[in-house]
Amino acid sequence: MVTSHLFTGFTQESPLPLDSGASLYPVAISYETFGTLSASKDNVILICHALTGNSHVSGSPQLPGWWDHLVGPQKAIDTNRFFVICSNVIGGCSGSTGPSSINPATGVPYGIQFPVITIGDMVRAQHALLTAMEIPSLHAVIGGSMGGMQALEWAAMYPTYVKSVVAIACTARLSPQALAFDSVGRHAILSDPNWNNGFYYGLDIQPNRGLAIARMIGHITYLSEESMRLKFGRNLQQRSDYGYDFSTEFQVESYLQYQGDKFVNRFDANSYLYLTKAVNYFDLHKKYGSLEIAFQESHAHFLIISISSDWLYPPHQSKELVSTLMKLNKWVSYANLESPYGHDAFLIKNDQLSELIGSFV
Amino acid sequence: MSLDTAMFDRLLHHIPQGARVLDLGCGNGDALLMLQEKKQVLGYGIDIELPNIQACIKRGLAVYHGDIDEGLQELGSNRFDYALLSQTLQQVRHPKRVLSEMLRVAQYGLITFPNFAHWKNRLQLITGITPVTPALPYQWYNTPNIRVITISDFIKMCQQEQIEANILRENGQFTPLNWTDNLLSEYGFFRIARKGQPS
Repeated sequence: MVTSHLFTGFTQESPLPLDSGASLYPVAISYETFGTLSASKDNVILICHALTGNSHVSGSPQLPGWWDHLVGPQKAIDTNRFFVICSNVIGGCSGSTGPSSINPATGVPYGIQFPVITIGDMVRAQHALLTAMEIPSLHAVIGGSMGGMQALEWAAMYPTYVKSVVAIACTARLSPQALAFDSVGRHAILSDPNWNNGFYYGLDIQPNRGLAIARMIGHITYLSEESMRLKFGRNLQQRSDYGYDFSTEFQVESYLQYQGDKFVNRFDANSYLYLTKAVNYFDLHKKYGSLEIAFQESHAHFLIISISSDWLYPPHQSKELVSTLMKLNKWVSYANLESPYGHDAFLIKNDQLSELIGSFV
Repeated sequence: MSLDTAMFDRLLHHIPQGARVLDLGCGNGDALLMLQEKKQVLGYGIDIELPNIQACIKRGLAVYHGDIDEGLQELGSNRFDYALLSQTLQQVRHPKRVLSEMLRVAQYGLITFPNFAHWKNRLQLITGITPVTPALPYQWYNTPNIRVITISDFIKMCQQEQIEANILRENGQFTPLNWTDNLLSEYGFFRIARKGQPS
């Protein structure tokens, strides 16, 4: 049983406070639920999506979800047992308030007048949603990549509300290398003349070139050297030999271009700017003074999972989280999944991942 | 008596109620589970094999997927009362470091390894073949053991490293080495501590 919903909260008198000091109202959160809420409301699992994901975590053959192999009846996250909620993050472009929403002050889309938001703001908005749904506690909050950051932030911000946390391919803060890739992605958008300082909504020309390049750069960071070698090698897409020109020749080029072009049809360039910024600002050390302080009050059990070939958020960053949680005497388990697929492995069907998550929840 | 039974008996005799126990190379968690059930210990496991990690999580145990040979740097000092190392010492590349790390994170180490100087091994060696026994069940070409250790060797190294090593007897008592141990014991069972620790 899948149902889509829209929650709207926060008013001018009582807006959503943001980490930047700004505030936001009204705030719409579109979300989907799967399964049935128990009478005692103790079977709720919140799944947090990654950068370009959405609330459709589980679906049908006609409209597949992004974690179909993990979430559903009799799957690792069993919707016969759990009531799963997945909401679209604020700042995104899948139905929750973001830069393409109407700014009540001007009556036109926010564009870059939308306030800069953080992972903490996303979580605060999700908490408002769950409060409105009268959910007293979360059995688990689960996410990979940016979704894992939200899961960690949940444990830090609402230490007694969350009973368990699963953070996959995640980090407490990005490395400078990861920041650098995101920065180049944003530059690609900002330097597209069609970006038009963020005001392109309703215009015929969209900043598709910049957004596609940003996606191509991102996509490189989600794969690994090994997965690219196995998938594409140095194969040429159409020709049998080099053309000695600048057309798209290598399979890997063609693949990235395809990914970039496909992406612009489903994603908003401004949202890409805002969400990568939120990920870049995410730093539990800085926000709380130290990682120890961030988690010291948490009552949650933690399962931290890294991917062996993930060079974007490498395993040592997960180990740092685990080490801190161990020092705090928290209940924490850690597994490093052997996979050649790089960061994106958390989205790919993997029996070991299913088994770990299924056993834990 | 199987090694597990022999070890579990000793653990049950020796480990006090509610102790904090780290199991290095915890396998599928049998020892930790037994200690949690019978001694209500606060247990933690480390293992290098993912299927073992999965099995432990399924059984509700908290575990860390890692290589003890690379060190226990994820663990703070004095986090545990006991660190267990069962049938693993003969397989690690850096035994001194592993022992020293055990005694950094825990007050005591409880260790077992197959005793290469057991009389059965000596007899086989005299006939010119590498010993194959229930305690050392492998051929030379497929053994995971990269070291041969005798009880006397182990004691000698502990003395050099300022580690106090006592033999852990079946009744849970620990006593210094006597002259028959190295000949008659199939396994070494030891409790180790930093010299100068209260017993």
